[in-house]
Amino acid sequence: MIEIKNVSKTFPNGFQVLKNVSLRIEKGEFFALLGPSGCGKTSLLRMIAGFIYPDEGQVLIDGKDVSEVAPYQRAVNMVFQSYAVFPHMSVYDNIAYGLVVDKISKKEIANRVTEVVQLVQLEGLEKSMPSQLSGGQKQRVAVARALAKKPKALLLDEPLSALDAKLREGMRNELVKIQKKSAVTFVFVTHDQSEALSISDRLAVMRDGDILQVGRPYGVYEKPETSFVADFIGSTNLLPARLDDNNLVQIDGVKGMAWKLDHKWPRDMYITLRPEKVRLMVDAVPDKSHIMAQGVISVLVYLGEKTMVEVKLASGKIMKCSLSEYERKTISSLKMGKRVWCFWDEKDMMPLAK
Amino acid sequence: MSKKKRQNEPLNYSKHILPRLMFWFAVIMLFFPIISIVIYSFNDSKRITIWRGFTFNNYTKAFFDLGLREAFINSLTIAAASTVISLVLGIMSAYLLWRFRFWGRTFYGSMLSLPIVVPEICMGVSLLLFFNKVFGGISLGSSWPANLILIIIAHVTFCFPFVSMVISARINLYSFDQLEAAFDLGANEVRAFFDVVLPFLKPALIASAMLAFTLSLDDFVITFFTSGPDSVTFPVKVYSMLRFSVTPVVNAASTILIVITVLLTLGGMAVQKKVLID
Ligand SMILES: Nc1ncnc2c1ncn2[C@@H]1O[C@H](COP(=O)(O)OP(=O)(O)O)[C@@H](O)[C@H]1O
Ligand SMILES: [Mg+2]
Repeated sequence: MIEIKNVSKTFPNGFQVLKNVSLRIEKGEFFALLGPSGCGKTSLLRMIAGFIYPDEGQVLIDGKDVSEVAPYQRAVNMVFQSYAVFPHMSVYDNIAYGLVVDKISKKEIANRVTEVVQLVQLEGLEKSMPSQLSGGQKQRVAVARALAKKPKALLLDEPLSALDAKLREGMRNELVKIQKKSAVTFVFVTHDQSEALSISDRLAVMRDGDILQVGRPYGVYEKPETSFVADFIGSTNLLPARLDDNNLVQIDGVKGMAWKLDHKWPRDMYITLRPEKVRLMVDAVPDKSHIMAQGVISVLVYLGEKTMVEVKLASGKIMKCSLSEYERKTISSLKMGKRVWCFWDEKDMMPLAK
Repeated sequence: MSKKKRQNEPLNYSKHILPRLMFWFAVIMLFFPIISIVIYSFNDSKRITIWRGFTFNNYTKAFFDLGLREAFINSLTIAAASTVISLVLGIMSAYLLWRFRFWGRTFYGSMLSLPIVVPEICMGVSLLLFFNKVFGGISLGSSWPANLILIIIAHVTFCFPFVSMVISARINLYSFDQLEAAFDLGANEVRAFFDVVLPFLKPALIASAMLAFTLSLDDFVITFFTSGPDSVTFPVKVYSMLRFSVTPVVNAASTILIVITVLLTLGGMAVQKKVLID
């Protein structure tokens, strides 16, 4: 278990990367740190590994404060973004390196290397040099090398970003399998929200050195707590809204609203609405039971399994709408410049404080 | 291949008469003196200017000339010692500059290469003065190899800048991730250095060792100022032999020096290509 307690860090150049961050990563879980580039994910990971020390706060591994412990004395291991496989050592020697340093017996080393080589499926490549390996294979070496040390946690810094799209998906599933089999805690850094959603047991969304929300993937997706999280995790429609004196939600140009919120909500707020919840109707008016708004199709992008439509509402706001292939086929005349009704249900909307 | 593409390639010199002449003129001017020394080292004559037929006698004589042999052994010893010392210092300074940020780092870095631009004669004179002041009262002993220590120190002063330059060029290509990966796997600073940094530096170490060895073996000016009558090096010995008489034995000795130098330089150049790749 890794605990980060009120950690702050300012670099010597005066840049504050981490602002009072607290986080708890449970034993054996696949945890993703998600956030845009430059938000401090790598720095947080490097702090767990021991490459940077916190100015304030503590890092605890299994209850022990390791804030001031050097990286070579910490029971966590890292898979670098560049893999950092040692080029002058064979695959076997790379994987054995951490064990040789620990002065473990030759026989035990051989056993453990064989074990992790099987785990990451590198059988038969033990004698190869890194220059003979593909990117995906080098990554497996980096993972095996770290796992051979039986770490309390494996830290992975954007391990898939250097692979091409096809390989990335395969490796992603592979990592999940390896994690489940080895039962080691994985802390996985990524800026790709779909990667984080698909791979992790839990995830944390970061922005500007802050952790905004922690939770299970569907929980964060369904119930974002801030507009940033709502927009970053999948795309979303963010509609400015007001609460009137009867606590009824009012949105410009939207009809059929009779949605009452409790008085804790501020007067000025946002409503979020996922694009896949918005349906379209051309040449007809939707049933009165729906909430609806009229507009003109301004963008139409066919993506294969789905179609992205942007509708410019009368209020000037853009409504993003994602149609499944089935939905698209039921609407006959989908064209740019066409007048359409967007409609959805009350339960699809989420209120957000500004 | 299209005609347009060709314009970006270097001109093919062999098709033009003027570049060809220039090329051969340069080659002859550069290498004729050297080639003539090599040829005359096989000359079967006491006098250097007249060709009397082919012989290996000069080499035999050079080999059995005790003074020449002693000087040759001195030179090899000095070159080996100053190469090793320069390498150790060069590795340490390059690692320091790469690994740490400290006050005056840039200044320190540029001071390292200063001896390259100081004229050799000034280096020689200043070292002579320095040694007389510092070691003036102390006797390091005149027995071999203690008598070579001053020369070795002097040679390190001009070998070291080249060595640290080559090693710095290499180490600046090194990815910090590699070092951190070693730390992460449990190696401490010293262990990580020997296990992962040093192997990466290998081509630079070989190249700079050959460079330092050649520089030390060839040096005349600085050695001339710092050597005494009981610590003569090969180039200094050849020079003193020339002052008595120019014999084919001198040619033979020079040829040996040329061959060693050329071989080391070619070897160094072959490895040097690897310093800045991968
Ligand atoms: N050693 C450092 N000194 C100063 N600034 C740094 C240092 N390392 C990273 N930064 C800055 O901190 C910010 C966060 O970096 P990083 O943790 O790598 O973010 P991420 O991995 O989320 O992209 C970046 O703006 C980066 O420029
Ligand atoms: Mg990063």
